Amino acid sequence: MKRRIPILIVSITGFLLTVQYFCPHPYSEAFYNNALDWLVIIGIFAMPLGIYSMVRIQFQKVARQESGWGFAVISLISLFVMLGLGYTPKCLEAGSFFMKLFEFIYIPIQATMFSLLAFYIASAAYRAFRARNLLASIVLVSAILVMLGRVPIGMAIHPIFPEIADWIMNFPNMAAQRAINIGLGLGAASTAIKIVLGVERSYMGFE
Amino acid sequence: MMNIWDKLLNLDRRFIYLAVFLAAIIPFLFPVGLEINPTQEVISIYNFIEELPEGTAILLAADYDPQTEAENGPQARALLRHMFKRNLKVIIMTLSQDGAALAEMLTKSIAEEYEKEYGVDYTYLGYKPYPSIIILSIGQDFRISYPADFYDTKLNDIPMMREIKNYNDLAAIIQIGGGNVSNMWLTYAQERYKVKLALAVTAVSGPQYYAFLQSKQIFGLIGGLKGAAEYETLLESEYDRLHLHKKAIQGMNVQNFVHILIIALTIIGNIAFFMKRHPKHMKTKG
Amino acid sequence: MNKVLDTIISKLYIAELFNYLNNCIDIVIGAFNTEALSMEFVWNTIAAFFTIAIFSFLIKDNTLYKIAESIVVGIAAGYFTILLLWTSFKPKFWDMIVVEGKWWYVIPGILGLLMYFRFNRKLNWLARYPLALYIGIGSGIAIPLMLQTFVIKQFKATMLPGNLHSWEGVNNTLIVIMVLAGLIYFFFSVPHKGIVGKTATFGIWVIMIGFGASFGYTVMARVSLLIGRIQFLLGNWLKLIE
Repeated sequence: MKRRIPILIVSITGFLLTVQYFCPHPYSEAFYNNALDWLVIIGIFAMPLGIYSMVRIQFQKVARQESGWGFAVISLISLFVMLGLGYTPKCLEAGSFFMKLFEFIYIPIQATMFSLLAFYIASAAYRAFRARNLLASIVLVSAILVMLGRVPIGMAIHPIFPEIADWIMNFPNMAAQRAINIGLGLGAASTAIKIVLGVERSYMGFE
Repeated sequence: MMNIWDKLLNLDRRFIYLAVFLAAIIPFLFPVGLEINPTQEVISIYNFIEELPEGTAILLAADYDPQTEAENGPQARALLRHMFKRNLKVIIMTLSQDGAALAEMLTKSIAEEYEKEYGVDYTYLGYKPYPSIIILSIGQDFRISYPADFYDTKLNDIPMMREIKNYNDLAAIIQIGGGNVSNMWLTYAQERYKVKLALAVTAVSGPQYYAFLQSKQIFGLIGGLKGAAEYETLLESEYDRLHLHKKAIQGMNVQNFVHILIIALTIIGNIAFFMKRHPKHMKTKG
Repeated sequence: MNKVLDTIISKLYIAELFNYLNNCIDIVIGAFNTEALSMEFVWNTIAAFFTIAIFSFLIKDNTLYKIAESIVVGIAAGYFTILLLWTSFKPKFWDMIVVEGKWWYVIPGILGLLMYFRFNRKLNWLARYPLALYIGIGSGIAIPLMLQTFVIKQFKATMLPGNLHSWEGVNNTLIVIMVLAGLIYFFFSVPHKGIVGKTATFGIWVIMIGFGASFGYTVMARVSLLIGRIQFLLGNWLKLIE
């Protein structure tokens, strides 16, 4: 009940859906449509799980007065303000106060957090991007050529730079990405097969 | 006593930050207009949209969020402007939770520019969770995952959606985003339902999709701000006609300086590293 | 006489000063009267404040940064809950049952709710049922599609007519050699010795060129994000640029 049935559900549904791809019969199509329909609903219910977990952690922090509990209070206040303002579906339309908070507080903070990476990558290039050996030198030269070839100034310096960058992107880069993609595809498909066959069970918390 | 190479190697990171900041601000105040040449992968998308008959339905999946808006936003704006200019019927949706607001703002503002009518010329479906399931379900019927649009109007009550059931009724999908969701569109839409797909991705994801471009699993690729600037260049006359700001082209002019700075930092860092490792060079070269 | 002159001059100055102040006040009031403009400025100032708060982290970790970080967590959770409620739960679940009478939608709803038993030590096994359905269906669909997309189609596209007589032919030959070399590098079932070793070495060179290209593109990506913020600060907020 606790272990076998979930594994059986995985195997049966996995097998049926694999076969369905090769047999587009009206019955199998109906089964496929219903399966997708159900999954959309399960997903809607399962999605707030992360939010629930986050709220639990923040409440615990406040209740136990752990270090930085004041910040947890700020998070909870922002959460409840948003929940309070979201009492009507109209709140999701551009221009509402709810959306203003999202547009002028959330978006700038998120965008700026990621923009910090520009500074870190410059610092990393200065401190760690070293031609220590042949392989590192290849990465370095390739990176510099692509960087030069992909900005307008590269073209202004010499028209050869965009051409070199194009060649690197379309040939060696493409070949490298393809080798990685093939490995990725084989890995993902073999894991899925192992799951359907019941060999791989760690996702359920079983050993 | 510390010599110059030691000093260079131990430079406070905040000086580098300051240099990056200045390299990113100064070109805005003193712009240098340099030519941007569109690449074949971007031209393919432009030509595809250009050649579609008016009234053809197309799906724009704006799966990006605030983190990458600086790159994907200009791509989305250029693509949507081109679609509206060509009088295509555009369905906009998103599989990014934070993207729902961005996609709505994008759709409303560009539709206003072109005086397009909601439900007739375009429809905004909004967000639904679990991308792979949503992509697969649209292949069967939009109504499985989207019984109603973002504004809670039933799809059957939206004039342009009455004739659209699934991917078979679309000329193509153009997905804006990158990373995992782009892979899902490739696997669950392009491969499963054989629908034409083009990608507009962040520059981080860009290199990965050249393999799919060569294999013709995607018919075009717009990579990062550079790709957006190329698309703006292709649409230059349209931008000028409507007096629109070419944000990506402006951004690429700034990229020049920061790129040169980062290349210079890499070279200086390497010279300092080698001089420190081989002190003989230091003596001979002073 | 002088006194009179002084008075006149001072009055003139005062009048000018008043005029100047009046003009300034008019401009400010005018800005606030055009509600949209002033509100836009206020909101942009709030956005600029948070942008600078995050940038302040570059100098040193500080309270302002942490406050902004905490606000983001709350807003994200609140926004997502409301988004799910009005654009997913209502049209896809509530309306289906209450308005359209599709009562059987309750079953996947209950299955979804079972996920919440993950937090209960005794009943957490119940969460395995919806998870099983998800993973089973997901895996079943993924097996043929992943193989087709990432393996078969990619191999097919590698089988190109190569020759050494034309530029295209040379590039095609290079594609075949580079992809195979890259794959051999990832193939660890055979020891990387002799010809296999040499091919694998060439393979890793190709992969390194690819990584270099990725690094170059990553620089462009990160810088673009910074440009976006500066466009906001100098353009939307301060109106110094277009």
